[in-house]
Amino acid sequence: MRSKILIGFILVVAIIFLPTAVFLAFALMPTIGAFITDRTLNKTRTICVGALNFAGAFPFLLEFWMTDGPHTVDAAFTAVADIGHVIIIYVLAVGGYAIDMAITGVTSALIIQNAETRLKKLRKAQQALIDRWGEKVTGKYELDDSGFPTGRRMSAAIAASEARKNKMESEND
Amino acid sequence: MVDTDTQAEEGASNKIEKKEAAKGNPPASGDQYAYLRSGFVVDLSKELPQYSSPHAKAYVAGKDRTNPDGYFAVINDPSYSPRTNIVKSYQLLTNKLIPTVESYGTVKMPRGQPNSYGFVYARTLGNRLYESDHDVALGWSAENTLEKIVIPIVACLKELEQRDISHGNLRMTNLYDGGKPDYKEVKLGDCLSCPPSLNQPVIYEPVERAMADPLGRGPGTSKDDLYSLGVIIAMHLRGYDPMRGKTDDEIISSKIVNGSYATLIGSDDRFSGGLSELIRGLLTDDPRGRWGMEEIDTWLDGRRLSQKQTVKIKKASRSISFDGRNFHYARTLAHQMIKKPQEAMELLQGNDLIHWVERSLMDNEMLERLNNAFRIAADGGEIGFADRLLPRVSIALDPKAPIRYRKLSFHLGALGDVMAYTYMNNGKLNVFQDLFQSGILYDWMATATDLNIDISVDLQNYEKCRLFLRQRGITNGLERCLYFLNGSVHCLSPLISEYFVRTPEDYVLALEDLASQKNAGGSLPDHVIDKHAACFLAARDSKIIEPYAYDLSSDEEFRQILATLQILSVIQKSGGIGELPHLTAWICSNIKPLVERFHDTETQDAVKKEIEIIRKKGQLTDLLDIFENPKRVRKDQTAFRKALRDYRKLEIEAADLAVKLENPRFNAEKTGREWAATISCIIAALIIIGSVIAFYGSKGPV
Repeated sequence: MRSKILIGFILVVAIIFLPTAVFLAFALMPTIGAFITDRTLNKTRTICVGALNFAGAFPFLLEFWMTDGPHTVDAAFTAVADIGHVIIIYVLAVGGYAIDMAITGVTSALIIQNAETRLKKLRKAQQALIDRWGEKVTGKYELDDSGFPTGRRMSAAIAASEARKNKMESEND
Repeated sequence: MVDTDTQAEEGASNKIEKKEAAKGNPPASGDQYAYLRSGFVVDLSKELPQYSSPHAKAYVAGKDRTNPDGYFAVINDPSYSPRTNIVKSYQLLTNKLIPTVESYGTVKMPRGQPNSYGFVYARTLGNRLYESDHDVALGWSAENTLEKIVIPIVACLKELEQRDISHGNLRMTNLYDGGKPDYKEVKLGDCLSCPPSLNQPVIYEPVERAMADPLGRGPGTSKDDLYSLGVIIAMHLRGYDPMRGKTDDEIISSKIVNGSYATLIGSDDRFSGGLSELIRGLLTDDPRGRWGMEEIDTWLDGRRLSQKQTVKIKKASRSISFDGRNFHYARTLAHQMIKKPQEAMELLQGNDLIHWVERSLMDNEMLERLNNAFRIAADGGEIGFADRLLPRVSIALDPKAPIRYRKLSFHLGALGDVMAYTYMNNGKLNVFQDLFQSGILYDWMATATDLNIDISVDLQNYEKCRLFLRQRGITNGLERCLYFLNGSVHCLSPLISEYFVRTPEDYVLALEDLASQKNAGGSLPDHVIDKHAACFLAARDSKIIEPYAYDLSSDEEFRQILATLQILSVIQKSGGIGELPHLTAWICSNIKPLVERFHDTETQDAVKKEIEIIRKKGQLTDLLDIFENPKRVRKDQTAFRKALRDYRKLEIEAADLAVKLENPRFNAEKTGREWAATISCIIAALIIIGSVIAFYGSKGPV
């Protein structure tokens, strides 16, 4: 319902500012294409492409708005049909795609590496604790009042841990 | 005079000497020598038969290691408990009739023979006066008997009574001349090496005690000693022995039927000087009517005393046949029945006995007791019926007789001695478990109460024993009953039974000696304090062990070890015992579970180093201090709790990361795209701002 209202609102605005709407419709074709094909969470690729695509179109839009002459649909077509304009606008849109791919790749590689290093450190710290305090420090065994294992594994705790893992996995999916 | 060294040895103040002694003095040259801790040497090649008894042998003893002499040692049969519980009181006696105890304790035998227990006496007894206890009829004059026998022995018994000791060994073969053929008064021989009355022939014992097994007669009282004195007087005075050639059973039957006086004194014997009155008073079969010290003093003062009329036991109008013999008396029948259980059961399966009691004896109280015995025995079903019935029938027919159960015949006061003997010979106490569970002891006491017999002490002991049997734990059970009922028995723990340990301090010293021997070659068990030792310590000094009994009974190894350490260190400290390096080393070898009670391995390493230092010092208290240091324990626990928290935090974080890394592309790309979008937006913003500036810059100021 909300999207319908939004579309209706945009159509109304587009009809009111029809020359600008025609200009943007042609200039932001890569963004529209990205929006349609984007499967990422929160449509980050569309944002990426759209931001640079709009940045590429903005100087010509500004010129279109500010130059003297008729502010008509024909003028909008003329402004957008300029091959130089089109190349600049679309190259920037391609730049958006490039940033999306490059930054995503580099960042994710760094994140994975960091996580693996951190996990190794954590395991090492845990092993140091086990070496000093024994297996009982893992909390996998039921302990008596003095903190010594009673000889029984702490099945309830393990079950709870497993449940937590499953829950997190399902959230990620 | 008591040897000062010996006093010191037994005194609580000189425990270090004890410890030294436990290590064992070097044996004297020659295999015939045994030795005591106090330094006395016993020459086993020189037996002194005149001081020996059926269950104890006497040898020449002395302080000189090359030629011991001047004393004699009585070494008892290890199956019987010597009367160590009365030795200290005995040593305080000043009467010269009894030999002075110079030393007593474990006798180390040569050539690895089993050790034994012995008493060393000053050799002042002289020669034995009589070689036999039977067929003695001396025909002495009244004056002679009074002067040499009656007056000195009564004075001695009076002193014994004041110290609450019964002699329990008054008989003809235990009378001595003091080394003078023209002696003025007799001397009395050893009474400590065996349980009271063990060596007494039945003729010297009142009929109820005579009917019991020799070991089952119990500690006895001064009145029992006076009875024996009465027998000795009678034997000195009488012209002939009416019981000549008679068996023990015949003597007992005669005492039951004719009374003790008639059993000992023939109808032809007439005594002058009123001694007949004294003998009648001393040989009165009813203990309540028997003369005591007061009556004897009155008699010695020359005043006449009226004899209490002897109550004749009921005689049946018609006899009952049992095992080919006819019986007119219930007491004699009961005494024989228990000896032949199969024949007795045949008799009991018919109604003959009940009809005989009802119609011939016409004793309604006995009949009621008999019916109750049948009723109670029948309650338990067919299994063990005879074991339940026969003792109850015996009680019904003769309530004053000893308790007869299976092959045992004993008075309640002797139960501890009987238990100890049974365990030492069979290694089991099962029969007593059955005895306590059967309710026979209770039935005996209920009947005794009905008959106004004073059983208050027995009842108290019985209730305590029931409590020990009901409660679980290492300090309870039959073993506890054994040590509770028998204050003389040594610790029967298989580990140290040969040491004849009778005090907690000696127990610790025996463990030290054992550890020193095993360390030289052999293995020591993991558990130092076993059930026997625990029950022994609980019975001898409950304060030592009761606070730690729960831990000692625990299945958890560290609790057992800690409790063991606590108990032994309490004994070492309270007994003033010196270093115990071997025992400490023994405990240290099993102490790992206790060290592991510290969570921190660094603390464990520090503790191990401290243990190594203390191990050499031999102070159990110091060893205990390591584990009972509250500051260290608290620090360890606090740090461990923090470690637990830290580990949990790390675990949560690691689990979080691990989950993320299970699908790295998805999680990392999500963040990467967010970054890319942000960067794109920033670049776009910069381009837009740049275009605006460029556009308005090219137009110039408006």
